[in-house]
Amino acid sequence: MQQKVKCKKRHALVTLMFLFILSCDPLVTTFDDIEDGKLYTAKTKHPAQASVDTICVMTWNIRYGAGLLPWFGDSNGNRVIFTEDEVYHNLKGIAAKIEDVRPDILLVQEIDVQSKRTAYIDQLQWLLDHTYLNYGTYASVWKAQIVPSDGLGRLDMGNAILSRWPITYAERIKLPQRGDQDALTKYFYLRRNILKAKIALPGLDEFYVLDFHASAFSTDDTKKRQIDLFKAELDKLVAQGIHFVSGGDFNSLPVNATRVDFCLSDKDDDESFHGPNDNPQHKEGSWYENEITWMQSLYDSYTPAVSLEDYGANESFYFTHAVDATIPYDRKLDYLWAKVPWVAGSDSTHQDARLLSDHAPLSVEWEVPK
Amino acid sequence: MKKLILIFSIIFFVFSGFSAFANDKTGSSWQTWPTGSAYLLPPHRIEIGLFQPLRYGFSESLEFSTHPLLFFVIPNFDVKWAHGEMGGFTITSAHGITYPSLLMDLVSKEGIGGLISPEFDIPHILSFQNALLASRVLFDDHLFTGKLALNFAVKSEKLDSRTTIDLPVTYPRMSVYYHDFGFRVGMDMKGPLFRRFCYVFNGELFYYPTAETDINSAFEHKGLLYWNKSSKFQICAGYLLSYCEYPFGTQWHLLPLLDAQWSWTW
Repeated sequence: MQQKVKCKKRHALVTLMFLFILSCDPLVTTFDDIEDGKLYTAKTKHPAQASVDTICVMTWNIRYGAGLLPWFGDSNGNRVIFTEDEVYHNLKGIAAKIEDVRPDILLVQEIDVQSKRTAYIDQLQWLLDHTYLNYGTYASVWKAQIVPSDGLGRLDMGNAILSRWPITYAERIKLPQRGDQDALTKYFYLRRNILKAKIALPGLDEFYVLDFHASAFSTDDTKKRQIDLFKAELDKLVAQGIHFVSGGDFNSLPVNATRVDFCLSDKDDDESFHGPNDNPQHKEGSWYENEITWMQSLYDSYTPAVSLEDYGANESFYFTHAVDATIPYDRKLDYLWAKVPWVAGSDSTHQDARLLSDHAPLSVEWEVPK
Repeated sequence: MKKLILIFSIIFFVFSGFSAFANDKTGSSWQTWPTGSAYLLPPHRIEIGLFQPLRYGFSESLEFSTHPLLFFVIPNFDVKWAHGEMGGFTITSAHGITYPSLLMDLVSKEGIGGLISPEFDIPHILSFQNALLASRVLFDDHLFTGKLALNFAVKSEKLDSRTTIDLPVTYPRMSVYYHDFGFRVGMDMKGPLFRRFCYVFNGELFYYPTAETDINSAFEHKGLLYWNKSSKFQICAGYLLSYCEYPFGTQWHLLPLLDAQWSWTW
């Protein structure tokens, strides 16, 4: 009997210690295959329509609210940590653009939540509190107590979905990590995901939104595998007869893009590519020749907000991204996809938002099926 | 080579922080390994650990210490001064000076090892630590120590608040560079357990009155188990539990502690 009590006590102690260790924050956050998305609510809720015929959907890579400031990691810049004033200034511009376009559902990529580089501001909560959008969900892509490189420090950047209507459930679907990095770099590097949210859209029993951000700089087939997994998620919804809208930053060109090499226009002053002695020959994330067909399966199965015909007829009109902050957008990387066709001619690539991010928002109307 | 020195310095800096100001060393009795309590090393006795400073008992009333290797990247020097007995307590004051700018400059760099962004200039910083320690024997062979410390820092110019290193152990100790002064209040118990094993339990509160209310305090608790091979060598293992208010919110961390210590008379 005494032995049993001792054993129980020991088990309780071990369990307590285990729970205690679990309750502590790790230095780098890793993720399970499927996890719940973090849910957000605006401080003040704005009334949303009780019935809708069409909804406006927008996707936007907001570049962590840094505008066109020259960050070292993505624009050949020399800045690492921005000031609070700089970040709030950019967020106000982003909120103003959202108010202007008035999307009902907004898919956001590269949004920072309490990251050192952006003054620890919870940008998702800030956007909810400073726009008419009421609900949000978030899934981290890059989360570490500290990234011990370049003074980056704490990072939490990810994908988010904002909505007028309640988000009843959200899940983070894990995507494969880059396969072309050493173990240490990989440990502290980005962990991509699909953020899938169930939204209580009036008129539909089940309605999902999927937000996606593919690998930008992988030199192997990581991005293809990520795109294929994204398509597989859409296929599952189609098979169940569930309506959805989806999109994000695919870091891939349309399959009929005429220019596929941006190495020389993207390169920093001290970089050299394409020369006989250059190694690597191409700049990471700027050469698309080998991957130009990777979006084909999506185009074959789903309806893009911007059709290949429209894009081919006037490519520059639909460009959404440029690395160099001093030039106009020079390629299209951002997409919206649905099974039910979008409202014809309702798409807009908002290139007027050039000062707010290195990506332009893309919006389109979607007719809610009856 | 430079990278190796840098990595070693960072590890050393972090681990040495575990023991800074703390009573985390004892021996088969606290008289043999008194460091951290209000007791001083006996004259001419030297003590050093893998992550501990080099300590030297200069006289009955003075003890000097410094981190010998870390000295080259973070010059530091401490004096412990015995003041006798008062109300059954042994009273000692500890006074230290540190120049952290060199190390902060070293970790302010591009690429791996960059804990601070290279876009910032690190000013000259002198940090002063002043503590009052009071120890009293309880239950025959256990030692209780209470500590009250006032730390302050002077700088050649303002240190940008974006240079913080948001890590447990490190952040609360560096806070004084940003908030000019702060208090540390702590207490611990140490004593024998069985055979050659001893324990240390310690708790310490950090408080910076001039910091915003959501980032002005931190708490650390340590539990350590020591094994004394002799009066010349001991090893210890344990944990450090850290609660800290960071600029992004509060966090708990549980970290392992390990050390080996040597002592001899010179």
